[in-house]
Amino acid sequence: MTADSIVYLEDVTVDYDGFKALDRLTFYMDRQELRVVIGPNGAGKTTLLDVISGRVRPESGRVIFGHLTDLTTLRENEIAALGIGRKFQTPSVFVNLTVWENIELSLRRQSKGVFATLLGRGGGEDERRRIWETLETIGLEGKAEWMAETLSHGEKQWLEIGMVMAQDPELLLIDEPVAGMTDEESSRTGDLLVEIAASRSVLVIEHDMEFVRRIARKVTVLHQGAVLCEGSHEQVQQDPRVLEVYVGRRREAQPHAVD
Amino acid sequence: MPTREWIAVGFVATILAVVLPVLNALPAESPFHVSNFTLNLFGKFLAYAILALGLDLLWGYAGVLSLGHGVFFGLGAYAMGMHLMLEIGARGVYQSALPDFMVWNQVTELPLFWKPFRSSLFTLLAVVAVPGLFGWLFGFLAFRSRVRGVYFAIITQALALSAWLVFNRNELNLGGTNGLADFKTIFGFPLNQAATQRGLYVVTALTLTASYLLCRWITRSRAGKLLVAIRDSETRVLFCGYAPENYKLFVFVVSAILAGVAGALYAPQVGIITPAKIGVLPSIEMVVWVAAGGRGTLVGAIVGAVSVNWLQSWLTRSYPDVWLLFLGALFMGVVLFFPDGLVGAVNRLVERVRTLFGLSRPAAVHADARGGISR
Repeated sequence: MTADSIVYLEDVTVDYDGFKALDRLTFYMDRQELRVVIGPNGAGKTTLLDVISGRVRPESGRVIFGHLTDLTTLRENEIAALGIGRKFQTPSVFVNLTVWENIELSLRRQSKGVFATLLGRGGGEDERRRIWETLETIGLEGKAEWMAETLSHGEKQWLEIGMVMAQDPELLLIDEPVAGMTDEESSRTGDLLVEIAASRSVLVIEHDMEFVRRIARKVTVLHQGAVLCEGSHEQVQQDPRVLEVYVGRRREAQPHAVD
Repeated sequence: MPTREWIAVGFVATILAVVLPVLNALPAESPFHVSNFTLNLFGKFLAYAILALGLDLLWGYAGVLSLGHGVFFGLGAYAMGMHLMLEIGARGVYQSALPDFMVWNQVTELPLFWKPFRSSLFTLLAVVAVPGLFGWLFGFLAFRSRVRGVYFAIITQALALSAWLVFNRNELNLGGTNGLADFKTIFGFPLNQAATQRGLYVVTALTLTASYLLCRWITRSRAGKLLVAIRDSETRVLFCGYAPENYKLFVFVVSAILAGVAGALYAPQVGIITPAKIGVLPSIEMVVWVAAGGRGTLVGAIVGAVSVNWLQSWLTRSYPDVWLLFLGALFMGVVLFFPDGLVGAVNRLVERVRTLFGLSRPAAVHADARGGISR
């Protein structure tokens, strides 16, 4: 563990009825790092995010956030309140609320308890400014009053990224952000993630190697629930073990848009 | 709330709570006279509407379907009924201080849990607290264990069935199958007098108005939006840092209390409460009211409760055999053709007319146009 790690997993094992989704995984990320995790299907990528965000409790191992906080005993909403945001693979937004309301509900607040939420009337100047800034960042400022249901697939993905940003997290966990996006949308999403990573730590899972090449400074390859190798995009692509893992799937060295 | 809505609420509340009772007080010869029977019928409908509001908050907004709200209705109704039974005193058939059914069952002393119901104040508290606490306990256990969706609906149905079984037993000392009946007075006012019934009707109409304003206040708050968010994606809510089960528990308790209050207003107006009002079937009927009126609108719940029951009272008088068939057909019809209910259908019609005359509003108001979620 380096002194400045944002999240640190040590010897983490997740067992789904005999299938080890994570097998004594050790993984850490620095603050303000943009990290991409790749790997074939079933390598444990999404499980890694599940463990950090509290959705899955590991059988063994430690998951440390910052310096001291052990995440393995906390609930999802408690982990979110600590400053870890999670974006899911398929867009998960509130379709019966407006874009504005989606962001408003996501904003970081002192208390997200029932009575605070019931009595707290929205719309201080500061709150409106924060919502507006988030909408500008994700490029949906013109659709603030639209029902989220009416957004395109790509816009929903951005909205969800905006919702995660509105929580003002230190660490963002993002699962396959460009799945199902057009090339132009992918490219905008890449810019967005790089922009976010300027001030926060971002952990992205992605299959699309073109996208990975665009955004990644450091890539981690998972295989059978453990880290196979880590390094720059080029290093990873030339690693013979990575080639072997992807062989049989594709003749070229480039693993590409599996799933 | 916008001024227009205040005016609309005030208008409807005045008709229900002032105009109808005044028409009822007119001499019977007057062409505008509303009969005691009709007013009493309406009192029952409005009590149902109070329950429907809570059910809509729970199902229409938070997406939590309960098939067991008859239980909370029954708890409120029995709490009130117990007090009314004790008010009868020695005026019963057996001229005993005990309720008639206890004499019949050879109970010699008033059971302990009946005693506090001698007090009117305690009864009024119990009408709120018993369904509220029971709802809290049941909801706490269910939501903590993350029981959701269909599974939640099934265990609430099981709750309705078991409550029905329990209330049918004479050993419970709540009158068994025959329930509680033959009430004579309520807080000293004779129940067989038109003025008392009129008073009960007015209290019901005012309680409905207050309940509507309470529910409207909840749905307009940020917590109200969060309920819709829970219906859309509970996982997202959780990962936004909220504990969705606390919000679901909150609306569940609110709806249980509204159901209990509805029951307490029902019992003295109808004059009887039996386990038949608690079971699976009445609980499902309550859901049909909300579905028929249009879920997620509050107004729809009121419209649905009143119109379905009005239809029922008319059909069961004229064609007693077809009512259940009709109820089934109504539910199917609503689900298949009007998923957003009566209120939604009317809203869509209005929207279509607006479009026809070029008055349509932009996409921003989709929510209103669908008769759906209030903003």
